[in-house]
Amino acid sequence: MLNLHNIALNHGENTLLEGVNIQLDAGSFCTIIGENGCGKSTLLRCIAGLHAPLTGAIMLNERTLGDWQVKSLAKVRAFVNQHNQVQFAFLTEEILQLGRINQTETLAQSTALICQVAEQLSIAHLFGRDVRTLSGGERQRVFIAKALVQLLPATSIETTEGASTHVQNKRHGDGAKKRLDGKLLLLDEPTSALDFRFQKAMMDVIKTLCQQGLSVMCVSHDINLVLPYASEVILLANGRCLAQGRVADVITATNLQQCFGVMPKLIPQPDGVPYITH
Amino acid sequence: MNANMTSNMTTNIKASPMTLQFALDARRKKHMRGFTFVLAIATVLLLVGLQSGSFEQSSQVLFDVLVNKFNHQALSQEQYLQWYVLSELRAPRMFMAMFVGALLAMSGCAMQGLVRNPLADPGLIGISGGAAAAAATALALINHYPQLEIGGQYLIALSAFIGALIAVWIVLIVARTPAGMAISSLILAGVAVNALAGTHIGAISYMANDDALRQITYWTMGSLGGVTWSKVLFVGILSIPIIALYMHLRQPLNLFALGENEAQCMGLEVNKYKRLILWLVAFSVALATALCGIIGFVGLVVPHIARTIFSADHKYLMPACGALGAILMLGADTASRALFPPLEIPIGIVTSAVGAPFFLYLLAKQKRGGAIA
Repeated sequence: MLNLHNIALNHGENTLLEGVNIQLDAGSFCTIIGENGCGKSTLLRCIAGLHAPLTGAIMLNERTLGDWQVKSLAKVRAFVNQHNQVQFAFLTEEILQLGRINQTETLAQSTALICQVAEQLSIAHLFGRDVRTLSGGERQRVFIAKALVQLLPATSIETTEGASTHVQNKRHGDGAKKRLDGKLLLLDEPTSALDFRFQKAMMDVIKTLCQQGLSVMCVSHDINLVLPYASEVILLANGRCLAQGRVADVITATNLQQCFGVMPKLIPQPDGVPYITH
Repeated sequence: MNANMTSNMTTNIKASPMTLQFALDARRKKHMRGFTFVLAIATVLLLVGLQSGSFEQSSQVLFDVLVNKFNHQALSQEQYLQWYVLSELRAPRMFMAMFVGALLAMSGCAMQGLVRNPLADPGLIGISGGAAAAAATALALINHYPQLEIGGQYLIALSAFIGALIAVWIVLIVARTPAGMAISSLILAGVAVNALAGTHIGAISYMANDDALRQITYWTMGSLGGVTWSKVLFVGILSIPIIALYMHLRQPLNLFALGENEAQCMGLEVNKYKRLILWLVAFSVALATALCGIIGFVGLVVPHIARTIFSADHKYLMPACGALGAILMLGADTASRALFPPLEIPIGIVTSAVGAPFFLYLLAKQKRGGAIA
């Protein structure tokens, strides 16, 4: 659903990205790993449309980004920045409501969706709070929730009161699979401000959505946290793809040494994804 | 979302749809309280404003005049005078005050939302400076060439309007980059244009004679004197599409408040809307300044009051700014007439006297680490 062909980007004389080719299927969880300044966030921002690549093309659902209408694009692609600052006293629910700005559904439908996402990300108790007064982790969860609200279809949400959550969730799990096909979530360090508990919980939520067809590209320095969830890994070094593919193929001591310049220890784990340490 | 997700994310604080409903209801109640407050203040100010000024009118006399007028009864000579003051002098300037106040406050709201800075003011991009420089030039010319005095008032207004738009145009040209318009460049260019305008006004003031100098000084203080119904009608007709456009910009401004990158990712054509907002602010402030001179601090102060009473969400903030701006100007106009009768204090002095301390308070609050509403 996402194809990057020979992407290059310069800033003055500095090469930020060069010859980047990526292909991402629907439902993939792709994590981008690399040392500081290797171009991970820049690559994500290119896909988010915030930087125009010097050469190459970015295709989303078989259309180049330039061919999309901005509003249509916002319905299928959301980006969560690492730092989110709000200058005015917006309330949590007002930020989440902005996620539905391009939709034409009823207020009841959008309210139901916002409630459900807020419940899943454990931010519903923050309703009525000025987002500027939230902690970094709370704010990060609010902005991830906004991105999910932006992408999820409201029609998949049951609004009937009293329905069993389990039944609802099961139905969504089955019915929404195709609904999230062709949708892309870009995450730049989504767990950087989250505590131990919410780091895992957030990754679980995102993985579940991937199972329903959502494609995710995630930049993270917390390799041991993201690798067990990733279906694909891209190792980036000096703006070039060093290796990409399945976790087992890419995460090798040699590749990691090439990427980070230090020889890591890979401790085998029962799930097949090694634990990486110095 | 499936059961796994629920089990993973369930917290001690169990959420339910009612939580959001409760928050929305609380916001609705806050807005209703604010609306009632605004309505009450507006009613009081309208009644006080109609009676205030160098020509005293008691409530009873006013009531009698209005009753007679609406019953189509003949007015006595004294009542006719009362009616004339009311309908031809006070009512038009009160309407003008409300239109101008609404335009200035809404432009302030749009400007603050666009640059994501609660201390921003429309004057930041050189609008007032450009208008003042052009008006000063026109006043000096009229003083030097008496034949220009016929239609001089319109010449000054037109010059101020064009001057304001030229200043903004220069700022926009300078701030333009291949990637769009950078807000920081915009503000710096605004500072430079304001400085140039100040130099121009200084040079004209230095060369002008006493009469022209007095007129320039008086113009820069702002005034609602000499407002006629035709001017009110003119401003009213132009204000309707402007206010409609401001209302259309409420959601884009909400997105701008999250940052330009965020706004773009959420489907906003950032550069297009930035240009639209800037030109709309320029046009509305130029219109207000051309007709009433420089009236400072309304665009800065009103959005803060509106955010405190209502919400930061521009869906509610923008109309609230319009209403509160109208009320603030109505109050300032009433105060300018009522404080030292028969003298009329220029309205710009009144708004600055209220706005400047408020601005200092905001700065002090920010310095102490407090968040500005």
